[in-house]
Amino acid sequence: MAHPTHWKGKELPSVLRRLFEVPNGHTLAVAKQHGAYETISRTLFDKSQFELIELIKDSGLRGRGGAGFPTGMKWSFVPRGGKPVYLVINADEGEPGTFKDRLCLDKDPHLLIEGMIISGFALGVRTAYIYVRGEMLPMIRRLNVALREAYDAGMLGENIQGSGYSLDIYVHRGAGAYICGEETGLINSLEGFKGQPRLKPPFPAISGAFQCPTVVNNVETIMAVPYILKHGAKGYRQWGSEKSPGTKLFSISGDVKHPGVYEVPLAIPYMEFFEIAGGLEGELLGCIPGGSSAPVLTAEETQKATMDYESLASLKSMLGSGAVTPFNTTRDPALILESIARFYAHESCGQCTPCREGTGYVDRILRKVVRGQGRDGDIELIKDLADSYEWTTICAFAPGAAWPVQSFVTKFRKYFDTHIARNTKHTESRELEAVRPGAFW
Amino acid sequence: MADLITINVDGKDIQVPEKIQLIEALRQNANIDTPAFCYHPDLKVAGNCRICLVEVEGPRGFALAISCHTQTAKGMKVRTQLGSEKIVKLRKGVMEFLLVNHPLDCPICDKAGECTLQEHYMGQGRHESRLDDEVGKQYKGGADHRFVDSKGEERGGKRIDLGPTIVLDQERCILCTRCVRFMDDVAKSPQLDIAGRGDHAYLTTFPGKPLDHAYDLNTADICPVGALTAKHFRFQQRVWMLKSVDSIDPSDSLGANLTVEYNNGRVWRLMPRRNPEVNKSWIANATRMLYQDLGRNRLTDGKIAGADRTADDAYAAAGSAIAAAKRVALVASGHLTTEDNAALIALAEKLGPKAEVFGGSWLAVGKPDGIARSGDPVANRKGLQLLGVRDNLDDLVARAHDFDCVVVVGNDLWSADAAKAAKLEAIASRIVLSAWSNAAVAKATVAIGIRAWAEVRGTMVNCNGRVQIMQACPAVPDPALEPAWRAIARLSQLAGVPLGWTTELDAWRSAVARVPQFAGMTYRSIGPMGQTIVEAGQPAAVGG
Amino acid sequence: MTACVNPATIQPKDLTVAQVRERMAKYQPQIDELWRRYPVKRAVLLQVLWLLQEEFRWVPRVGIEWAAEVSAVSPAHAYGVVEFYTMYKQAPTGRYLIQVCQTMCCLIQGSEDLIAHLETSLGIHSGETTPDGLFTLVRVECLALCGTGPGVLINDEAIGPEKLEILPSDFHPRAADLDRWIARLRAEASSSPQQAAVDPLGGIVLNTKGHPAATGASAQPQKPGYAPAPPALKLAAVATGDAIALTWANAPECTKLVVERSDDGGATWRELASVGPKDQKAADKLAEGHSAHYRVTAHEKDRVAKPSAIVTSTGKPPPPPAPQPGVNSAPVASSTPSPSASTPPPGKA
Repeated sequence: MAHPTHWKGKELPSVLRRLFEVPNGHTLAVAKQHGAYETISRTLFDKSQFELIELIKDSGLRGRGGAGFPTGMKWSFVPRGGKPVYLVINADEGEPGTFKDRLCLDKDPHLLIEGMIISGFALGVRTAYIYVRGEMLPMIRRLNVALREAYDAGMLGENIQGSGYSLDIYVHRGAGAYICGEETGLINSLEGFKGQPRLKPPFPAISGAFQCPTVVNNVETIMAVPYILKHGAKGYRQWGSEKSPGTKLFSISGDVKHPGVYEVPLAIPYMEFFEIAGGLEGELLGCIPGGSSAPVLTAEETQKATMDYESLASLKSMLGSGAVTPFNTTRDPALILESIARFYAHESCGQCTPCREGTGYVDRILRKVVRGQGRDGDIELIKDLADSYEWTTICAFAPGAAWPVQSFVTKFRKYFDTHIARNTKHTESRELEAVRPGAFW
Repeated sequence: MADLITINVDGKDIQVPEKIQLIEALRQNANIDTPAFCYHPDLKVAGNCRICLVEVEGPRGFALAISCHTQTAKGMKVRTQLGSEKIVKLRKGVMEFLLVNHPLDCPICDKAGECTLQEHYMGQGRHESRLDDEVGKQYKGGADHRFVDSKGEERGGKRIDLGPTIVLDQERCILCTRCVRFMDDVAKSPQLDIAGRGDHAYLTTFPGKPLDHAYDLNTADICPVGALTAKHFRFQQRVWMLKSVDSIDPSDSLGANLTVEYNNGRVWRLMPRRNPEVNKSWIANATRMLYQDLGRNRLTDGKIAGADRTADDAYAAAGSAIAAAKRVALVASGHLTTEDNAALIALAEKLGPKAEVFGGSWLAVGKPDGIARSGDPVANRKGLQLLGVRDNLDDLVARAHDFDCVVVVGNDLWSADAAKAAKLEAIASRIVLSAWSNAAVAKATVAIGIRAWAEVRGTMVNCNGRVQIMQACPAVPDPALEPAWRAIARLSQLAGVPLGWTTELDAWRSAVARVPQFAGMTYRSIGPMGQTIVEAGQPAAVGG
Repeated sequence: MTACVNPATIQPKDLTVAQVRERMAKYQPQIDELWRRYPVKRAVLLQVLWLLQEEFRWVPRVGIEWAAEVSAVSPAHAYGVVEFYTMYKQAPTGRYLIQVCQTMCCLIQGSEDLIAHLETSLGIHSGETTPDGLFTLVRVECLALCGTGPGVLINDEAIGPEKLEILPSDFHPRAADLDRWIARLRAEASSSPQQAAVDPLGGIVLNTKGHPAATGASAQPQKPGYAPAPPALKLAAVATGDAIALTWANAPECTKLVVERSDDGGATWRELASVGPKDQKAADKLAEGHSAHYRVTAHEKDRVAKPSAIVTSTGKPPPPPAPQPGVNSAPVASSTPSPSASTPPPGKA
């Protein structure tokens, strides 16, 4: 399914998807025909680090990995002129529903490298790493070929294009842990530790990889940087809203005719986006608007929502990684939540007590419920447990694991009650059951 | 001491030092009982147990923060369990999570009674269990040790032989990583790690490799639950039956602080006693195992010419030998308390020119290990020096023929260097006062049993000039045994030159009179944490 | 459940660390490259484990000891790492590792049916290997193939209708597709018994100069001052009566800022003020109707940045007497610059 070029008479942006449909767009030769590395010239080298960071600040670019933190502000926290600064690209795409980075790395690795050179120049980076999730070996191959091409073309290495600036980029393969998408978890994994998030402060911008200032940015964030340098903050702000400017890749899957990755301006209505993706299948029941961590929206809420950080915040949800999963009335929200809960129980890093024990506990209760062994009070219990681990941990994994639980059981309660009603003894309290005989242990 | 700043806790202003951990400020300055599992004052902060949560005011109102990873700052506003219902509820939640997958085997758990989980359940939890048995527990444990119990439930490793000193129960582990951090950062031998993730995570060594380190028993102390237990103490005593006295390490000149724990007339274990300026919270395994010697191979009576005799007979024989001797060598030692050595010196003075005091040790001196040992096995070497006794044992050996009587107290010269000590056998009358029936006793003409280090009250001066007190543990093999200083006092009487001392304070006063650096020090001023001596020309040390 | 199988029982009996070292010697170029890339050796651990897994097709414990040795960490640490990451296989796996995603998007698209079908057709449970050692079936969480779900990977690559692909477009594997695939893989296995080698690091770029702080690396540290000195940005002038307020933004590394004024349209400039590195404002006076150009030049130790953009300002009539509180806000408090100010003169800015 080809990406539509126009929608409602207006051209859809192609900031990031420039080469998505160009055959062999991942090769340097083809990419160059489409303008790759044009900015690695006086356009970049005549700018001071300060100007570049101010440029990104002015563009309003926000982190596309999930938290939506303003990128320019993140960069401005990095102390300059001291210890080495690291740039680490987060390509540990793992948020259920998200598959945009896979596409980006497959189709246009040179845009990422170009963005990294600009970002590295702005931040004073000498060595940068691309942390790619372990499952994406083919993408690692793509990247390595692209890096080789870039080195051979003098775009990487020492004294890039005679500018005096030097940058090396290395690919680091992860090994299967969702939590490595959390920036400090990723840094730990890069350093050869378990990918467990670190206590903050210090924040990575001050002390990250190898105890040095580190900027961790998502693939998509960095891929937007060349466009901003070329067309200015204003050029980028032609799309989106004041607080959510620009374009974003949205991965849509679920009950829609043409699932896929679409680049659209921020702040368009969700319902319009479904049309771009070929329209919904069946009658909309609800929608997960930004990856599995984002609180689910009901059909009514989805109709009101627009695809920007503020609109979703007002609905107590979030844009997250831009993974949109609408589901129709033939789906059972209880089963969807059970799958999400299992995911979080499986991926909890095991560091903080509430998340480690809570996600597994909720998962076991939910599994019991959907098997028809639930009892009255189970739903209140998991809601209470989710409230309990929501904000009590080191990183944002626990809130991300709590929100779907809280929102699903609140907004789709009757589906859970139906499962519980399947248990003939659902009203009996557990104390009535005889304790099974057996040895102590 | 840093300047104090004001922070507000639950609406009350309190004075605390700046930039210390909030948990310490709450515990020490605000006197608010703040629970913690992973936090330990002598380990790096891990911040994973989350029970020490408080609310701290930030730019967007009060936000949750863990007090172990928050530093005190001027004007900080904090809400604890006393001022916030939310904190009470969340801590209850953390306790519930900790117990979800923790086995309920307190009745057979060695840690029961000193288990942090039990304490905090009573303090912060007290929730009704909501655990449905169909949901079950996820018992922690590596696949190597999992088993299926009689109910058909899969269980974690229950009694894993982790190494020469420690047994691991993986199910009980709450993954606080204290032991991992101890081995990484204190012992500098990363033999432990958490494997797996989520609620399947478990503590382990590399499979098949033991946990084996000269300090590994500390991991059992800092384990907040019964996951790591010391083999030597497993199933020996219920901890609430134990009574304890403060003491110090008699086998090393750093003088690690410890407690002697006893019950039923026996010492059951030695535990480290926290002293941030000496041994932090650590003691070496070798120190810890000294308790075993307290009940082993003791000399409880006397010996004359190798034959067992009553203590009274031996005292009488020794007293008359000293009285009759023309030249008496008195051997003081750094293994004895300052009081004991002061008694020997006082005896020498009473005996007049016929007596001469020697001192020292032939034991090899090692290197400091940076944790809780200086490497010097002579614990009170510094104290002996302060009393003016030189290290001149070799001199005694060379001049052995000048003497017809030698008195050796608590110093097994024959084990330290048998060849040199053999020269002392030229001295006709060899009086040995010893707690153990050792090589020196075998070579003695008269041997008298005395109390061992744990059973006496006295002081030692560590290698850094810190005067520290050992308290007497009442569990003694024979209550009639005397501390060395009193045995010496008794000999002085029998030799016709009575010292007239009745308590250790007499001995201490005698030491204070001899050593200017001890001026003004009393047992009270030394206290449980010790007091550093002021060397001539140095500014007075403040505090303990 | 297979968790009760004691992993200690499946370890190769006679394999020693020395033998692993010998077998892994052929990867030394890759290992040297990895050592060069990070300031600490420890960081190569994950990558070295990948090499190990490729060589043995799984991660035996002796191999973990070897990996710990290569990355200068303790074996316990390396074991913890292996147990943390799900992709390191601690038991031998089949020639074809079939990973099926079971997370929400793929669940919606029928992953449970697909797994059930595979379990029946292969005659194994998920997590197990077929007796002929060809297929291992595992359930995994999100593979980032949600758009073409249910996501199925065979040895790192997604299945397409005909061939293994990086990212199939518009293809949703169904039971019949999997049957076809399994038949095809079986045929492949019987025609070529030797499994093709795969570079687990995806064709790592060799012979780079590495990280400046790594041992064995030849990379030089970053040359300071490669970028131009940072200028002052966003200069604006606001006139209130005869008082001109200048504001700008400047980089933290500035050491001095010189505010200059030109009364002849930018031909000559005179220094108005020299302010500290953190100052972001200056003031001047212009009589009513008089205009002047302003610019700010930032200095950074011994370097001078290009001057800021030039702004023009004109003195205005004195403001009306301060209004009573609660009436209209005073012009001073206005956040928008007065229209007469901050228009750069024509020409280069």
